[in-house]
Amino acid sequence: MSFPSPELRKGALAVGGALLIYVGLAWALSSAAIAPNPVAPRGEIQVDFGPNRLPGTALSLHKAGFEYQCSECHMDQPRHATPRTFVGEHSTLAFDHGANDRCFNCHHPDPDLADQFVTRDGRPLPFTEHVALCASCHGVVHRDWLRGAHGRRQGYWDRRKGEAERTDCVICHDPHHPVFAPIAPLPPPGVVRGPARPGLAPHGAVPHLLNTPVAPVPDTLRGPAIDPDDAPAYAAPHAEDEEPAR
Amino acid sequence: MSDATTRRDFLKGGVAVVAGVASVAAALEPLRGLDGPPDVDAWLQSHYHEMTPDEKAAAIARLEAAAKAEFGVDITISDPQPEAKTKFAYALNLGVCVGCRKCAYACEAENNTSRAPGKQYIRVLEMNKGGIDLESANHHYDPEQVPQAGKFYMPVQCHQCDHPPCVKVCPVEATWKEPDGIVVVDYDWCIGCRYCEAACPYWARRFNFEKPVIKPEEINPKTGYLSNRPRPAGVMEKCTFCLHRTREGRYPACLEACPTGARAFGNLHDPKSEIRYILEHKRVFVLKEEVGTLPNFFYYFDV
Repeated sequence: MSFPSPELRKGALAVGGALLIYVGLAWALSSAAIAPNPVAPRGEIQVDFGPNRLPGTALSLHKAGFEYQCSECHMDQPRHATPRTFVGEHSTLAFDHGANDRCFNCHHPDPDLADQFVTRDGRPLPFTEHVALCASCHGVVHRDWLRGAHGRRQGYWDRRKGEAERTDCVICHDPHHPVFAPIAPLPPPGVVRGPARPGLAPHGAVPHLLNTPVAPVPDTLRGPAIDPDDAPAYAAPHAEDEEPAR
Repeated sequence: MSDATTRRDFLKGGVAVVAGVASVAAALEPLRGLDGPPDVDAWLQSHYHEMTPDEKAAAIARLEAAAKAEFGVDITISDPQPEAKTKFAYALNLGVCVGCRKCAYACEAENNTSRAPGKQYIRVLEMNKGGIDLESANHHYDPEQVPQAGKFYMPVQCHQCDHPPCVKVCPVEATWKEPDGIVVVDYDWCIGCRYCEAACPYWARRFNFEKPVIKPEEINPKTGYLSNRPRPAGVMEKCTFCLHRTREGRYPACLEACPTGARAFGNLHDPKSEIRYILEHKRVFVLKEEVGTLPNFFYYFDV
């Protein structure tokens, strides 16, 4: 291959090079931009910000939509000296309030006052005053709650700008089962970088080194086994340390 | 020297041209990620502390327009300023924390952190009862139910230290401590060197290796300039105690989400505040006291 003149040869090379650069740049710039990571499907992560109460512990007729007062059934109910098992309407209640295991510790035993609580000195207390009833035993917690060290808060920490909504005891705690129900934790943090990639174990699938059980020490690292029968007989400790006779 | 082009010369020239094109294309590789020409205003933007109010307003308008163009969502970027006689502190009751991670997910929703790769400011450590052994703590726990017997849970987020090592190591002063105690990041000034991440003894800082990905419908449109506005790739981010909320007097999102009421927040300068009551009446401690960071995040047990 020959060119008539050096200028023509240089020109042809320059044009060819320019064409190649143009094609290369067009390819580089027009090909798809870096595809973003697909958004991790969050739809299945449903965060329920409600209290951790046992599910389905309401009175069964209440759950069915009926409204009624306690006194409509408890017209003639004696005071029980022993813990009761819940039957009938109350069988759906979970009951575990520690040593407080009598209905009438909190509910008024008088059939005429069945729609009220009873204080520890026997006075009736409306259902709306449940905070005072809880406070009669849980005084320290009540004090903390009043000062903001116990319980949930919503709203404004700066009282000059807005109100803080203070949740009552029974919003979070089931009064018959005040210990929080265990709940499923939300998923652990994802991979440090990028979405899960096929063929790679997700970050965190490998248990933490120090949480794995310690492997037993192989016998090759141990000393020779000692037969108890061959073990040297040691003198009883301190046998010779006794005070010498004077 | 002959004028005729030999096969050898032609091949040498061709190889050189191909190599040149390939190297130019490789050098221009980052441009492929660009959507349109670079924004001159963004390139010339000053440090947060050096911007005039007009420049701040222009920057906010530009960022809001960029978010609208990217996500199709009308976000508002506020720039609430610290108030006098206000210093924020946090307290967390380890006795009632059950380790459900709802705080971390509420934080994620509030602060527009990346969903893919997932990025959460709050890391909940699971530890064996009997001591605080961070070496054996596990934050990838995933049992059927929490709390597990024999375990307790310790959420860790930014402690907003009074001696913040992350601020000390920043080579460009892109992160600093505000007068109300919040350590913030200027996302437009951060160069992404990750020194602060390495310096933090609480692992409280997160780095955006990639552009944060959030579904438009999951974006929280109420944002703050120094807190939860959409971040670019390659910058550091961290918990700001929900600065855009707390400077308006509201509680942080993680506090409102906690189902057991383990979290308390308030103003240290207010003697009637909840945080002062806890500091005065509970036996509080700080994490890694020995490293001298003077955190404003306190833990306590009361059950």
